[in-house]
Amino acid sequence: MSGTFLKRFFRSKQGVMGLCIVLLNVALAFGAPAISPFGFEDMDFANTLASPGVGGHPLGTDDFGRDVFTRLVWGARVSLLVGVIAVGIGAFVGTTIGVVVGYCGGFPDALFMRLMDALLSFPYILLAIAMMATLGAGLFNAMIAIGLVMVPSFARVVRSSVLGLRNEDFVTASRVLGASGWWVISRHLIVNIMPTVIIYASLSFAGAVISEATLSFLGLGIQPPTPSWGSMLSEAMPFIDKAPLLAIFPGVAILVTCLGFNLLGDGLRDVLDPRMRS
Amino acid sequence: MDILEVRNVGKTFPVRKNLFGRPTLELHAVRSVSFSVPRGSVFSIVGESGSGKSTVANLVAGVHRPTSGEILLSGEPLKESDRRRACVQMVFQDPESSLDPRKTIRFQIEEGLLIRGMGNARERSGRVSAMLDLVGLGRDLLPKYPHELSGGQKQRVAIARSLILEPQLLLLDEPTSALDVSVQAQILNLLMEIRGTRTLTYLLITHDLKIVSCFSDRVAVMYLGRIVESGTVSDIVDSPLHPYTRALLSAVPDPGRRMTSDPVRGEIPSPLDPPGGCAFRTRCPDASDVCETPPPRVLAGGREVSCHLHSGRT
Repeated sequence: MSGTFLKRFFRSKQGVMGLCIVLLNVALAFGAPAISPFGFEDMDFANTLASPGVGGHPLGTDDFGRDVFTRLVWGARVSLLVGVIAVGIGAFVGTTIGVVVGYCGGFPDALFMRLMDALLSFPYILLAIAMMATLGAGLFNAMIAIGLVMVPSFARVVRSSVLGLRNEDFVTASRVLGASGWWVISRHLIVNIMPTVIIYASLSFAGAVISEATLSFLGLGIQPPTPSWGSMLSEAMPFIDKAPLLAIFPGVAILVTCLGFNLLGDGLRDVLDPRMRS
Repeated sequence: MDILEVRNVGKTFPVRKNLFGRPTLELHAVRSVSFSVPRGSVFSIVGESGSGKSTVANLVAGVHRPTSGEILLSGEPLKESDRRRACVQMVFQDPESSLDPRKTIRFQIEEGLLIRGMGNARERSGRVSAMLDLVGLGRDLLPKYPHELSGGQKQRVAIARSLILEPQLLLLDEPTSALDVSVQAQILNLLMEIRGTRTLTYLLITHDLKIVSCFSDRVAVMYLGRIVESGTVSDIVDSPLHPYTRALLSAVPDPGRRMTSDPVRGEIPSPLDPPGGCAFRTRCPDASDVCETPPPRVLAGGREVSCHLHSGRT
């Protein structure tokens, strides 16, 4: 099964492209110490806000004279980690809640969904800040806070597809055969909502990276001088007129990574759908 | 003993609820329905869509619980706490939605055994093969997915799935109405062949009177949640008593006979707001003032009809 799975995956051009982008990112993140020409804290005071190529800085320097390429590569570590872990937490907890209350219906459904609505009614960043204030600043807590903030939207999306599936005849047939709620959820519902979850997760990745940026900007996420793409973006803000490239490089990095995850998600969805085979 | 006995069963669904979850508007899908099915027979329930015939099947299958009345299986009441029994299984109308699009054919057929943890892998595989032979499908379909099969093949898979637990009562909820005409006959023949090889009782839900007259022993005609007439197929088809049954029968196209004016007037009334008294009176050609009172249940020679026209008999 896994052999044919890979074979089918490699037939999807989008998926392979997405996988390449993601792998490249991962390689950059892991290889950061080896690849980067400078230390991410090293300041070159002779060349602050330098253009690309000046003074041996491939992508120029920021206002402290720190090498942008080096910081991008190191930033990939933080951004990828936050994106993957936060989306993982959000998807796992949200999907679990959505499937269970969607299938059970009735009071638990009403209770949980009102709760999720209440959470959704807060601006998400406010919620994340409140959580960070409780948990304390730091990268690990930022991942948890961003992940938990994503839970309600995952729960909503999953619940609505479960509500559709719950009344399908194959679920009824399974129940008539004697299936328990757990059997129906684990054998029928999970596989059928997986494509929705994958797509939603790949779209949420960008949001997670941006959220981390915002938290870092507010001093709640990763602590300077450790770089993340988000913090680089926000640090570049005051110089947007003098050195726009300073903001463009981390922006492009976020964009390309999100594109990679979306393509990977599309590819995975196609492979997981038996109707797309043949 | 009758394998299935349905006693005064009613089912209401809440349509609208108030803030506290109390229903403010209810749909009476089935009202005080009674019938019994002898072991080994084919019992049909006919009626238009909205008559409550599928709800009856779902109640017997245990998908819904009756609001009132009771259902006896081989003399034992189907209790609320009962885990659904293997002895009643169901074949659904649309094989498109009754098979999980993301599971292999093998899983769908095997599922009943897996759920109940029956047998080891080899025994299960043997049972699956036996079921495939029974429904006339090849083993090459096992690793495939539903979308790769034709409608008829899918319905055969659904039949195999329902039979793998060796049920005694099979509920057939319009098993052919989603299929092409050419395939309908094959599936019906298959169902009848299967009945020859084992003791199996069918409860057939359909709107097609031709199927009923070919395959059924007894038949009940439902209208707006009530049984209006029931009896043996020859009684009902050859000499229908209730005006609704007569209308249904004259709606069956027959090449040897010209259609006599419109058989049933208008549409079935909303089950949310059914007419009082006899529910059929708004469309009945023989309706009179007396029909505003509930019709009597008239029993005559093994058949039963609910109609004022026949209150003189007994």
